[in-house]
Order: sequence, then structure tokens, then C-alpha cells
Amino acid sequence: MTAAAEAVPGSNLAARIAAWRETARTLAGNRAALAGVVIVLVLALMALMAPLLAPADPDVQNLAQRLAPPSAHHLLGTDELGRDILSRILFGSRATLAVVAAIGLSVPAAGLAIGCLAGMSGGFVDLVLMRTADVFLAFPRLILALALVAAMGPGLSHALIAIGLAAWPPYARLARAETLALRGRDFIAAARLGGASPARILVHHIAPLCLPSLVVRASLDMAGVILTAAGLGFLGLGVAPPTAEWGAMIAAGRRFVLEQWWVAAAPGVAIAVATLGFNLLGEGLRDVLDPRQR
Amino acid sequence: MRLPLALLSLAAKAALTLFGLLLVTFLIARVVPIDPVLAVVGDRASSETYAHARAEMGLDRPVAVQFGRYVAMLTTGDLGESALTHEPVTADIARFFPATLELATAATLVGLALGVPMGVAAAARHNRWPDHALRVLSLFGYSVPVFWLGLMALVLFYADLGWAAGPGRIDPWLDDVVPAHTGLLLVDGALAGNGAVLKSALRHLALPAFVLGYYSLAYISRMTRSLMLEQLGQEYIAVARAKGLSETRVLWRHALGNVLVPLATVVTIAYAQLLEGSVLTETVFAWPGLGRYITGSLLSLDMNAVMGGTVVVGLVFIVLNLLVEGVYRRLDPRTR
Amino acid sequence: MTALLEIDELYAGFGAAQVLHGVSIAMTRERLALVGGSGAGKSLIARAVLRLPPPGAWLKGRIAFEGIDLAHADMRALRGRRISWIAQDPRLSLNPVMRVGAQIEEGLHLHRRLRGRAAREAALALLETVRLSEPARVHGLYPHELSGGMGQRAMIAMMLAGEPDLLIADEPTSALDASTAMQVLDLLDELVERRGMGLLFISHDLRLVEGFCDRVAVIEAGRIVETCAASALAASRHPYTSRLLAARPRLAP
Repeated sequence: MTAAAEAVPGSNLAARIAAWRETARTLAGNRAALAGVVIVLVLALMALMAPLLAPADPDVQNLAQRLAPPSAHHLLGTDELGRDILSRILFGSRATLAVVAAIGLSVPAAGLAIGCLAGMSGGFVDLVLMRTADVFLAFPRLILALALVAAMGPGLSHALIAIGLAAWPPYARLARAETLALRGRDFIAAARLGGASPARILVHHIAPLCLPSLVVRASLDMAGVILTAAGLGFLGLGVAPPTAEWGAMIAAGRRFVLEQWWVAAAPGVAIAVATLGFNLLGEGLRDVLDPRQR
Repeated sequence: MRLPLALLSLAAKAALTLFGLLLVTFLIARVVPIDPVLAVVGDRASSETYAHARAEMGLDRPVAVQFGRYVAMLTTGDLGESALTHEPVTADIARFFPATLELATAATLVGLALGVPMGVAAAARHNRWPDHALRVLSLFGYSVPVFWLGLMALVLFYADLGWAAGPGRIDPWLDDVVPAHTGLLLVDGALAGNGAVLKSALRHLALPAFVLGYYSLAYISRMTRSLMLEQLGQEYIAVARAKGLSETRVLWRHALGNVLVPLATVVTIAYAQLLEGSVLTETVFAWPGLGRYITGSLLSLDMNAVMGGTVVVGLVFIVLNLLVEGVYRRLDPRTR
Repeated sequence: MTALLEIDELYAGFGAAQVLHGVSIAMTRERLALVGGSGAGKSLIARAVLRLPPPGAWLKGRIAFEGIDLAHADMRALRGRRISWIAQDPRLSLNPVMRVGAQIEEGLHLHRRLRGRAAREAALALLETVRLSEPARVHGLYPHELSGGMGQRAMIAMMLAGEPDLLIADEPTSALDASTAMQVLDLLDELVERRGMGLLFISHDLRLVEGFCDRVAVIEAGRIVETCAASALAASRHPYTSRLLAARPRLAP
């Protein structure tokens, strides 16, 4: 026990802030997690400030300079159309960030809603929702995304829908499991006795408690989402060219990989680092918020 | 008896999932912006031919009836005809599936053979360098895109060092030399006693198997480590040590012995993950498997082929999940 | 006469929490009981003698077995063969996925170099020694298929395979009901007597060891507070000992 007397928080808000501060402190102590946070922040920064950071316009072609090796002028060389690879990588982070932001903000929330609903309602609603989740889980994520994009046509929005549809079941399952566990607890019974409607119980009491495990899951999942998105880009099913996208860059560089390997190498490293960042962040969060999951 | 009931409910759940899977694939195929009738009859067909073809394909019936026909077709193993090759999709898939099977199996074996000992070593040296090394290794396995690693591996091991054979499954002049009894080149080559085929097939299998194997290694070693750590804290392990048994025996006979059943689950899941990973790896290595078939058909908008392939993969997934949930629990002597 | 076991100023703990504060015990081939409430550090002493600290625990101090300093000894040669340990709950201390017979034969193979038929015979003989009525049947069972009493007997059989000189019994009857506990104690009594072993009997039940052991060491909060002959217990003046004595309800005559 610490010798110094700990001030009793004066309000709910103060207690929440204190809890967050404690989490941040533990997270900061974990160096790997810290590295993850740094990487993710750098990614966000790159995406937002790409126009300022990039040494050249990513779409400007210079066929005389195509497939040039790294030099002082082009730090990572040029691709098959003479475009500066470094600039394309910086701008490519936008597509990645877009995918992460779109999926990361919507899918866990949707999964939470569905899972909590299933857990609270029970019976037929629960059955239908969970069987639906099972169906989507029965597909390997990439294959489902492929099939959907095949049907709807290429493009970023279609890729997002595809990935989203393939990604929601685990969150729903997780939220449902937590809801079921919490349902029987005393404080829920107390709230119900106090006259709270099931909806209010769900939103005010249960959903917030499901958040930590969902947040952990989401950060780890983002790594997989980046890889899936890159895979789709590699197959030509992501953003339409000439917009820079890391997976597509690897595909384009594939033809020349035996001689000019740097064209395909650089975007791959970028994907790996970004994914690594989310993996580290997710593991760090898991150690802090949900050690049982180890 | 409780057991048949548990199996029945499992089978029912699997059947329901399969039904849902078919429904989803069916609906996806209907979302396609291309007119499937036009794909068959061509742009310049007369309206009569169009109407005739449409009726023949059953597209004038209500959606529910169409779905019924679809399911009926599937139960007879008919996945439609490929718009590209004009062959039955089932035949195409039968031709390409063994290659994926061979690759996934080889990769899983690599992951198992290397991953389990690594996991055991990491658990035995908890928080010391083998443990940290494993963490780093598996972290990269979760971060590096498989298609990129395959590409870089080709550059290094094939182009630069010349250790591995290039893309493809076998040297072109040895293709179709041995009768395809199983479709698995290693098996067919061995059955025919053809050393050259066997050698070439092995040389071509090595690199993609190791690249894919790295990913299953990352997962299997991590899980082995956690499972082992959980066991090593148990009392029976201390008692086994108190008996005077060597640490090696305690680890491999006692701790690992208790981990075999959950490990079987892990390996099955790893196998399923590899099926997914093979889609991209096959493209990089020009491996003529199911994954490449699906992506190829996708790019040529051959919807029957894509959906057929998706259904097959989904089916395999459901079967693997059934294995995990149904069979493995029976294997543990504690739950018999 | 060299002491069989000498524990000299043993300190132990988990991280910053210290559990044992300089425990010293010496015993010959006798029956010494180590009694104290839970959390007093009794099991840690057993683990210390075997040099098998639980995860996260640290040990400091000198322990000697028949004059050999255990800090520098080859523990693997001693464990099971010279010093054996019986744990509390057979459901937790036996390997759940290995048949009982195999676990016994493992020790027989290691300590007496027996294999195949000879090992099986010896295992069955051991199971008979621990008074199991159907040794052949028990031999092929898994631990979870045994009752508590049967499991403890199997455990004893397993741990006697190496014919040790010192037996550490860590609350061997605490997980059993009263009558089964009596039977197991009776068995231990006979075995220890017949084989001339030293017995370190760890328990929380003072009344239980009163009639069973020669000497008693009482441990409270990681310190030995009293050591005396079992017969002298009732006359003890120490407040903690008296409390322990009073704590156990007498069995109705």
C-alpha cells in the first residue's frame, strides 16, 4: 500500500479521470505498448500531414526516371511510372488510416449493439442474431471480402463494407458473452428494482462494462484489418489507381521484383510497421485492461 | 445418454450455418451488377434467345424458388458452369483443390514441427531470452503481410541464392507426367515411383510451404507457450518434479501431454487460417490451387466459379469447426 | 547421530511479502509434526526441502539432509529416492491424463530400474501395500476416476516407489472425510513404521497429530513458536498452541 494518502475522488467524473490516468500510467510503463502507441500516432500524423511531408507529388509520372534505385533525390527510389515511392508511401497511409478509422469506429460499435441486444433479449432474437454471426464467421475473412467485392465491384467503399461485414461477428459474440455474465449480477437487479427499463440498463450499465474487452479486441483486430485491406489492394480490389495504396503498390512492383526489388519492398515494410503498431498497442491494452485474456 | 444429444445439436448448428452460408453466397451472387444472362448469351442475342436463356437459367422465377433450385443443385454437387472455361465448376475445383490441400498441409506440418518445440522452450525459459525471441518472432508473424513475405522470399531464396525453385508447382516439363490419382503431387509421384517428379515437386513446395508455415508457426508457438505455462503452474508438475523426474520428461511427457487436446484445436484453427492465407500466397507463387482459382475467376467476373469456390472453402471451414467442437472434446480422458 | 533433516534459519517469501522469518527445525528418523494455521508458511517449508519453490517464491537459508547441504546437492538424485512428498489433493497432484499405474511405474523405472512386466508387478505390489482392494483395476484408472481416499493411497504408492528415507506429508488428510482420513493415517502409520522412514507431517490440526507423531513444532506467522514432545502438548503454556488445541472439536466417543 502506498504510504501517501490517496485523495478520495470527489465525483464520478473525478473517479473516471483517476482511473484513466492509472491506465495511462501502466501503459506507459510497458515499453512495447508505448512503441505501439507511437507507431499509431506516427501513422495518423503521416496520413494527415502527407501533403506537407511528401517531397514530391505522388501522382506525377516521370517515365525517364522509372524504376530508379534509392538516391538522394528519391529516398526510396521510383516506381514503374517514375513516381517517387516515398511520397506514395506517405500518401498511401491515408488509405490505411481511412480503413482503420472507418472499421475501427463502426464495427465494434455495431457488434456491441448487436451482442448486447442478443444477450439481453435472449430467446428467438438471440438465436437469430447469433446464428447470423456464425454464418459470417464461417467464411474466412478475406474470402468473404473477396466475394463481396467481386459482386459489388472494386473501390474503397465496397472494400470497407466487405471487411466490415466479415469483421463484426467476434465483437457481437464478445459483447453477448459479457452481457450474459453481467445480467445476473446484483447491481443489475438493483437497477431493475429501481425501475430502470431494460434499454436503460443496457445503455447505462452493461454496455460501458463491455467496452474494455471490446477495445482490446478492436486494437488487435485493426492489425488484421490492415492486412486484409492490403490483401484486397494487392489483388486490385481496393482503391482505384492512381491513388497510392500500399497493397496495390506491392502488386505493381511485383513484375519487377527480381531486379528492382525496392519498389515492392518499401510498401511491404510500411504495412508491416503499421500492423505491428496496432499489434503492440492491442497487446499492451490487453495487459492493462483485461489480463485474463493472456 | 447425453452424448448423442450433444452431437445432434452440434450437427444441427452446423447445418444451420451451412444454410446461412448458402443463402449469403446466393444473395451475393444476385448483387452482381452484371446480367448473368448476357454473360451467357452475349450482347448481340435476340430478345427471344435472351428470354429463352433467362427461363432456362430459372431467373424468371421468384427469388425464393431460385434459392431452392440453387440448394437443390448444390446437394447434387452441381456448382454451375464456369463462364470462362465452360467446364462444370465442380470439375475445376476438383482439379485445383488438391494443390491447396498439399500446400496447407505442408505449411501446417512446418508450423507444428517448429512451433511446438519453440513454444515448449519458451515456456520452460519463461521471461528469459528464448521467451523474448519467440515473442518477437511471432509478433512479426502477425504483422508481415504474407504476399509480401512470399515475394521477398522469392527474391532472396530463388533469384539471389538459387536455393529454392521458382514459382509454379513443378518444372513445366514434368507436369502431367505421372497419373493424378490423388492430385497431390508428392503422393502421386511416390506412387508412380518417379523420383524426378518427386524431387521437383518437393523443391517447388519448399519455399511456399515455409513462407506460409512461418505464419502457422507464429500462431502455434504462441498458443503452445500459453498452454504450457498454464500447465507448469499446476501442482501435479511440482509433484512430478518431486518424484525426481528430469525436467525434459516433466515438460514433454507430463505438461505437453496435458496440452495435446487444446493443441489439436490450435492446429485445426491454424489449418483453417492457412486456407485463407493460401489465397494470396498462391498468387505470388503461381501455385495452381483453389485460392488462385477464386482470385482469377474474380478478376474475370466468373461469378459461378467465385461462388462455387467460396462455398467449398466455407464448407471446409464448417467441417474444421465441427471437428474442433465435436471430436476433440471427446479425446480428453477427463471429459469422457 | 546425524540429523536426518536440518533446516537452519530459513527465510522465504513471494516478492516483497515475507512468509518465513528464520525457521529452524531438526529431526532424526522420527515423526515430527509441523502445525500451524493456514498461511503460516508450512507448505513453503516442504517445497524448500525439495528445492521446488512455487512460481515467484524465493528461499534463503541452509537445509541439510543427512549432512548434505541441499544448496549444492544433486536434487534429482534425492527427490523421490531419498526424500518424498505427499501432497494434499490427489485430484490436483496426480497427472490427469496419465493412468495411475503408469505414474507409479514411472517412478519405479527411474529409481529401481524396473521395466515392463517387472515394473507392473512392482506397481501392483505397491498398490496392495497401500491397501487398495483391486490393485489391477486401479492400475488402469485415471486419477479423476478415483475417490479421494483411493487417490491418496495411489499418491502414497507412487511416492514410496523409490523407497525414501524421509517422507514429507503435506496435509495428506485435509481433503478427506473423517473416516477415510483415519484409514489413510493408519496406513501411513504402518508404512512409516515398517520402512523406518522419517516423517515430516504438516497439518493445521493439532489434535490429529497429538496421537500420531512423536514431536510437534508449532509455527505461527512464519516463526516456530514452540517445539515439544507430542505427549507434552496438553501441558503447553504457549497461547497459540493452546488456541490450536482448543480449535478442533473432539470427535464424539
